[in-house]
Amino acid sequence: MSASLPRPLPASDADELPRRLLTALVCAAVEPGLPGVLLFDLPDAHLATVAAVLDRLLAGPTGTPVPRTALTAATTDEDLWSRPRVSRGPHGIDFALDPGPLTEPVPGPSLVVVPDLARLSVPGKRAAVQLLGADVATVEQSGLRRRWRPAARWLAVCRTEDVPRVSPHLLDRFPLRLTVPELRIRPGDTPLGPLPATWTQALDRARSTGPRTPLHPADDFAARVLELLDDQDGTGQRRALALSRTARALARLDGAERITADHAEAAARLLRLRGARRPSAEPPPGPDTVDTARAGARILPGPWPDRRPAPGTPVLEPGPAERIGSGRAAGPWPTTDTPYPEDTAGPPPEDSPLRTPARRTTGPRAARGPVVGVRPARDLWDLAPVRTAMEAAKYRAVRDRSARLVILPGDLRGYVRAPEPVRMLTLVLDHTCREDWDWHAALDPFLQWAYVTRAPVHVVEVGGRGAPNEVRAESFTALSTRSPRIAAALARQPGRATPLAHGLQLAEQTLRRAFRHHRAGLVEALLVVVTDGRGNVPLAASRRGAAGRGAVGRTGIDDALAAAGRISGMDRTRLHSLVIDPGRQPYPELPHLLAEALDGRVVMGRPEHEAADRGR
Amino acid sequence: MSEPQSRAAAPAPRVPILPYSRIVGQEDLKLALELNFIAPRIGGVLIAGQRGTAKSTVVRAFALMSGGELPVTLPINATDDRVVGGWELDSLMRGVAKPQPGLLEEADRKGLLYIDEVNLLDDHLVNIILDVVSTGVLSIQREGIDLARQLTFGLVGTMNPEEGSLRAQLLDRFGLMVAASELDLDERRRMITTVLTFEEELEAEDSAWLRAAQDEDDTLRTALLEARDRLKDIRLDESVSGLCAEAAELLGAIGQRGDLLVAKTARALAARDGHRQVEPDHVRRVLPLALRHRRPESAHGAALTWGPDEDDRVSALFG
Repeated sequence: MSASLPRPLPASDADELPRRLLTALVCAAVEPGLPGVLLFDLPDAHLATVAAVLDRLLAGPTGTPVPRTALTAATTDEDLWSRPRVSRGPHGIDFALDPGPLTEPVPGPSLVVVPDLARLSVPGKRAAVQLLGADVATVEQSGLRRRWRPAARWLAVCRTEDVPRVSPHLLDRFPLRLTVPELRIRPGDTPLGPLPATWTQALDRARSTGPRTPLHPADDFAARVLELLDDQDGTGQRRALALSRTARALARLDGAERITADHAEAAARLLRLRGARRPSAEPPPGPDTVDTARAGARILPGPWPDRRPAPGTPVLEPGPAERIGSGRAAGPWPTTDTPYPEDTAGPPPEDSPLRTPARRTTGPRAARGPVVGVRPARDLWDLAPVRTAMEAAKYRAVRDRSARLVILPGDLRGYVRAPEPVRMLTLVLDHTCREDWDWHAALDPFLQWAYVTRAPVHVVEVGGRGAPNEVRAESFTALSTRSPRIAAALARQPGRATPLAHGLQLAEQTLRRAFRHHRAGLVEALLVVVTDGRGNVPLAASRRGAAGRGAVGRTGIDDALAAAGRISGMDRTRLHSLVIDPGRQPYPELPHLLAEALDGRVVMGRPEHEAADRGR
Repeated sequence: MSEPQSRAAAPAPRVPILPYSRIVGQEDLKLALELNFIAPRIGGVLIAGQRGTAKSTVVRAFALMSGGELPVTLPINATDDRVVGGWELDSLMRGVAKPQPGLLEEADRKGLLYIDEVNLLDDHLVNIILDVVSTGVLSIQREGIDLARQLTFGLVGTMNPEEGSLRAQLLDRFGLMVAASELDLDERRRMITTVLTFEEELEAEDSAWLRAAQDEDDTLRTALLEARDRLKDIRLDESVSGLCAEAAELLGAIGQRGDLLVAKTARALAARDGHRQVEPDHVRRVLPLALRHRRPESAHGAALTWGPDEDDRVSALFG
């Protein structure tokens, strides 16, 4: 190894940010195994500059820009994989189909820029998952069949507060991640600072196509990588490989003969991994520590303020405590500067964000959503004229020797539009509050409303017996109230835990997704929560999938109120919330507190005389 | 079904896929793919796993090892004419009608259809595939094409359950299901070293490391082909076939396909291990592979898990 390692990151202040960012971009350019750079909180004004820097690093001494594509919220499949070319021919309009930008038709690296990863369209997100870090990629579309080894580098930006809206599956595809909120760039040709001569040579070597001397890891390298990662379970192998490849890139910049533990350290500092830079502040709180400020919990005035359970008081029935879940030792709490913010507790990512949501294909509103694709037409409404003409052009020479463009019914193509259900019912069922109560009568009016309005029903089950993980809620969507899954959910027996906060978060993400995807088409959404409000699983425990140590206290309740508060911030003109109170004792005020947090109202579920009897 | 792979030695591939013999861990996943190769009538493998568990890499590496080429791959955004077949577009524009077989026909020739991110596949493609795999017939009446062909192929799919579940009908079409597992600490160390070494050796002009890996792949391929030859001679006693049915009933497997799959898979395992007849241990070993996705909860979209409860029930049966 040569005497000095690259020292791109000696301090954590904003002055060093350009240097760190430049190092990361150079690593991405020299190392094909680091195809994705994700920048959290990059100021909008700097994206063009940063993209230009990466472009120059990839282009090399010729300075010819590499092919560049921008993916946005409006990107459709048609923009990505094939590129129709329309020209004037001897017999009128001619069509041809060229490979699209993501199929990398030009040899060598290209650049894909995503200005806002959280708002990227579903086709764009799916493309990222297919291509980023893939060994090979395949496209099979009309007139286009291609298999290639992806070499494009992706530069994406995401605001930290939007991270919960992005699938961890997608985030995981970005090996290089930096938080750069206060990036200051210099005027002139080197906005992120000058490039050392040795780095320029390393970039030239990376661009050459000939064989090169292998750069192997030292014996202690892999062990040090894993120590630095300090990984949680379930995060897969990509982070370890990302750190290893970053270390290898730094070793190349260093002109080293082996990849050493020092290179791993330098890579960890570059990415701001906690193992490389332990904060010196007071010890971070454990997962189950009650921290109402951080959890966003709010103390709400209630009708019975004296009877709210005191902090630390168990909310369960008296009796011996029974351990819930498999348990897990308290681990470190991630810092805000972590490159992996999706690991921290917070609202869960959108459910199935890479799938096109379920939709109705009939009715007047079916034709109002934004265009997301094209398919063979079923009728003469909403035709896609260009694709129809292209389809006919394929057969022009075969059908008519005079080469006139003849359109037959089979050529007709219609738009595929994003789903636009008209109304939606979200039902949160807390099985642990039911006891012997037959809740069908209380729920019937809402299910009838969904039936009459043909609204899809999203059911969130809290504390159902037989749940795969009892500290987590489960949810599903039924396109019709006739779905047998709804009847099965209503008949489910209670389990032991009440992850109410998690259930409300699932409801929140469903509603948020509905408002986001269906936009103006969603005229009304109804949220019905059946619960006594006695959540006994903190949100952090649900996120981990295992109960923590020690008394839960009222953390589960506070987390549920915080989740309800977030729901109340949604569109009040279209979202109506209510809580059905089973009338359980003690703490009869909890459903009212929850309704207040939801900005909704309370409906008595059990007949009042029955509830009063139970209260005595 | 045509023989998916010939006995001729596979050419040394220079594609950037880690050699199968160098993949660290994932023993269940490898076992499922190997058993499906030995007994293609098993009908395919569904691989579920969290992000970054090398699901796709293992499938592609296996295809390279066993057949010398990458699998027939159906990307999630394929158009339906590429799936069922149509006309070659360039020829058509020149006035020449030249049929272009679709991926399903290609899968029939090669034995397998690989679908990466199978749970993200659009519904209309799922419907097409279900029609073909359930009837064994590809029928096209469109764009001037009128044909019906008998097709048979196994499905291999990978999915990340975080992105949603799979329709019950499609789930049932996968012979086996396996959960890609996390690696332990030692395996992770070896994985890092192996991947970095492979990527470097790939750039070298002549790599002894890659040659050695190729030799090991060839040896394994020969062993699997020999096991496939032995398969027809493997005996399945009545007592063991009764055990298959009993285990399927005990675990609440839906339909008869579960019983048959347990028996077929256990036979393949016996062939792989060089036994002359299926033993109860073979049955026990393959139960999670064959029945994980055939239990009633799975059909209703529940998590496709196999936990201590299932192990306890199986232990009670096998003693």
